[in-house]
Amino acid sequence: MSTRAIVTTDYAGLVTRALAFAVDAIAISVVGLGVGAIAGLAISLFNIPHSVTKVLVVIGGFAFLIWTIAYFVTFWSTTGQTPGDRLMRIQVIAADGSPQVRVRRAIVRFAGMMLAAIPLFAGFFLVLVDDRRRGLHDMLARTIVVYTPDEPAPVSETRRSAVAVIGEISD
Amino acid sequence: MIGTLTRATGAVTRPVRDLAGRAALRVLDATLESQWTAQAVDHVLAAPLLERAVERALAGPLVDKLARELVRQAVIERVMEELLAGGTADHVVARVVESPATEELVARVVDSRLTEATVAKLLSSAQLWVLVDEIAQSPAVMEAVTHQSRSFADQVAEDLRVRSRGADSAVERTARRIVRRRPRPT
Repeated sequence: MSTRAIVTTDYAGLVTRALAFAVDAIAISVVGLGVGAIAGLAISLFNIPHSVTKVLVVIGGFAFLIWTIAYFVTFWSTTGQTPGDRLMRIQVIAADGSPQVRVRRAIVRFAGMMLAAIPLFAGFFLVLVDDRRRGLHDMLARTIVVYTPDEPAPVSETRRSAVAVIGEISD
Repeated sequence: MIGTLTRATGAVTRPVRDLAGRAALRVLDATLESQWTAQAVDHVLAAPLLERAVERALAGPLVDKLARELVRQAVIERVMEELLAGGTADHVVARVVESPATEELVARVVDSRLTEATVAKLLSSAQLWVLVDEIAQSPAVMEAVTHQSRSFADQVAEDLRVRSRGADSAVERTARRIVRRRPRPT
């Protein structure tokens, strides 16, 4: 990843970020539910006491939380884009324009997201009134979210061959 | 002695033979050019006798022998080669293909029960589905389908992005109006 500072005023807005978050939430839930279902089926084969089942549910919940944190922190601190962000062509970068978001900052950002959600998501609505479209979690982690340019479509080998053949014919 | 006699006889009879041959050719030419000969030929052709003779010839072993000779001498191949080399075959095929009779024939064949039976037999053939599977799984077809699907997904995503960015600004403007903040500097 390039470490050159990104100079932009093209900050991503609330709707785009909400859609990206929704995509990520779906991805996290699908994986979580899938793993939970498999684990539940496996556990159902054994005659486990009710109290142990409760403990396992708590462990499962904790594992889901870890999985969610790992998902966001890993993507933000590596590419700056979760799959949802990539779909919506937005990227999380440091407030000074550096594209590298450190792991600690990513963890703080996730904690900030939790805090922002507590007062009826009011922390997220700061995006609407802040000049740099920052939410509470962005302010705490000193990050911003920007739109990224569209990537050129990959050219497949077949299309490359077809173009070459057409070129030869037209010659 | 005998040889000398033979040579002497030949020297005497050769001019006579040549003369007789030339005279016979002149008589033949005169006969062929004669109107009587033409009329005689017409009479012969119109006669029932000729018809019966042809019928008997066709019913007899002559046709079989003729066919065997045609095959043995490769007559058909030679004729075909000549037709193909001269471009006559192309011309004939073009005329046949363009003729209304051929169109009508093809239409009748397509409408016939034979076509339906052939199609039904083809569809029930396992080999056909093997072929269809081969084509469907070919890299070219897979590439085309994948590209088409990807293009559609890209188009939907692009549309979503454009609309969401428009909504970003619209929602922000409304929110800023409500809290009485000036528009965000761009």
